[in-house]
Amino acid sequence: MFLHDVVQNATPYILAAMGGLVALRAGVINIALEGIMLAAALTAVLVASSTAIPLIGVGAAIAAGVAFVAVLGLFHLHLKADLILAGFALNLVAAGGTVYVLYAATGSTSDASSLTAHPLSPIALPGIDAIPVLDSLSDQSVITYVALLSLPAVAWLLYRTRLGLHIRAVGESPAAVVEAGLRPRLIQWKALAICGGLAALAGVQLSMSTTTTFVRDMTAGRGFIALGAIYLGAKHPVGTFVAAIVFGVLDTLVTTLQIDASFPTDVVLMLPYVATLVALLVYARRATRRERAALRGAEQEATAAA
Amino acid sequence: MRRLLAERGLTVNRLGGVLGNVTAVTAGALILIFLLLVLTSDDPVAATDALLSGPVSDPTRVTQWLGDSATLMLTGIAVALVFRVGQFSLGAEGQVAMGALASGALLLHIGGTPGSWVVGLLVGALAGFAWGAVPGVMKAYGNADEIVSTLMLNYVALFFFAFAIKEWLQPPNAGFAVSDFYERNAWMPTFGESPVVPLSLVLALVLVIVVAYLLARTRGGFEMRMAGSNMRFAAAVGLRVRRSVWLSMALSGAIAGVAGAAIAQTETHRLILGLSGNFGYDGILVALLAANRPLLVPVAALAYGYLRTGGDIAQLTSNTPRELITTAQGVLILFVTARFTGAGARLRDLVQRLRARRTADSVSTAEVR
Repeated sequence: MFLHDVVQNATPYILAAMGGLVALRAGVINIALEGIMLAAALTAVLVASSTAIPLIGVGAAIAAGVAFVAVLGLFHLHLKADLILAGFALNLVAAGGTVYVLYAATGSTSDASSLTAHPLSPIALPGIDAIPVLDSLSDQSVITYVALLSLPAVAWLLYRTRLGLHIRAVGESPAAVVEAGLRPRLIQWKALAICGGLAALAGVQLSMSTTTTFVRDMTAGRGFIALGAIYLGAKHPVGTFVAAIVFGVLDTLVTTLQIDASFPTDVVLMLPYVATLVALLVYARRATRRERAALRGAEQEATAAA
Repeated sequence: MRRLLAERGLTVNRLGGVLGNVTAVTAGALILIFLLLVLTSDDPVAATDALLSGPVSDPTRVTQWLGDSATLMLTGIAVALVFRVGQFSLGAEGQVAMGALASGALLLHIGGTPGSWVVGLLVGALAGFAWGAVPGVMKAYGNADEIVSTLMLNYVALFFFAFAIKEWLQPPNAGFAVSDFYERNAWMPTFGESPVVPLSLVLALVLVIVVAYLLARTRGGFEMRMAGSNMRFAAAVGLRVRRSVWLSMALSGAIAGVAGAAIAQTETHRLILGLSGNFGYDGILVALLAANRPLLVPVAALAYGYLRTGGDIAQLTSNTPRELITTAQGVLILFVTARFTGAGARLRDLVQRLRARRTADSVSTAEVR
């Protein structure tokens, strides 16, 4: 059961982090992951409850996520708003706006429990059920399977496709991309759209699978933890995936330990952020050292040439 | 007067521009909020009235407005300081919490001593300084991205704040996470009866002037501004860029720490969960509205504080969720940043170029004559 919950809890981290990774590699630090997740979580619940079909809710949530991230694209890429401030502003819009819409739709400012819930039903994988450990992968929501597939998908996208090459190039040097006759903004738009869709699914997992309703502020910093997972994973799909799983383990530990009221869960909740800080420092130091080495190499070449 | 202002890098036009921005943004905010109110409230006119005239409708509300504005001034000037050095610190929220926690932890032990409120503020500043120095040093010496590190440190601070109260400071009979009340000597003095003018307002104004002086008139401040406008150039000409980066982030943390200590010592008189109340994040908006100009921070803080207090009152007196203000705030930041760095700046460039050409023309005609 523990492993099953780990996979379930890691799903939003994996999806949001993979989305954030694609955007980050295109040179767009998307700190609005949190807001996208929140907006998508609410959209999914509202649409699913009015249509009674969960999958339509999922579709609407993806649309909402992409629309939300499009605001970021519009303001940052076209109106030259600062990326971080725009992302920060979108988080505020989502935090306030979801409560506002929730209130308009249900009359409650805390949750959507008055609406009929249409959660995503778990899918049993025949054959895997019986195998120990692997059975934790069975009986998960469709979104979890998408999350598990997102690792090979994103890795393939980034390293084996033309778009992926362009994404990485624009992240390294937009000027070089222009030189190559490509439009950096278009590439960043595509990366952002992918990011919005994946982060939206992360939100849906929270309101349609882990729980069955929308609660205000239910993302509880997961979007920022996902951002941390990218840094902890050295901005690589595999590393990011592993970091997201680790955060899923911590999440599950917190839920398990919360039963004992005297246990200070705040300390465990703090861990992902501390881990990210350490990773940030290690990664930055390594990058600086590499840069210096490259610089020294270039200098030596220059002196040798002279 | 004009020349005096110009000497301080604050031309009258620029000042007018910023004030114009504040007015435009406030007007935009009010229209947006009114639209949102029309959509949900049964009586949008009454709700708008509560929002607009609420903060001055009775003395206790004026007290709340002044108190909130004082805190916003402190967090606003803290954010403006680091932004001027080109550092994108989002860490004020956590620094507010750490400042409040450090001062509270001490005051709960020594709070009976006369004058202990001063010690509380100093300890709050120290804690904020230390908490702000962490991402500062990480950035200056490890080149760690300060946006991510300050965001992460906010969460660490807020969880630690909750943990510390629950584990160490909560009296056994308390049903939820609060500390004991501070002794009377630990409260910050206030002036007047109704409305009450908190000392923190005076303190905030003093700190605004100190920061303005630091940036405009000291060597360290010069280095900070140079690092902010062109880091590589500043480093190339031998200015202490690293020191500027970490010191400005630490000083900013100290001011935010004072803000935290002041909230607890003026308003709640104890530590309580959620004490930082988004003031750190709101400080970002205040700094933006003031275009990172220290002396304009008080204006922006009072204007935004008015809106914020109005939102609280509208929630109390009409059935409007407080989150309306949060939503409007987000939309505002989007538009403010788009204006400042985008179309607005481009327009300003154009105007300046035209004006420069006109001056050049008049100069050449003068020479001909």
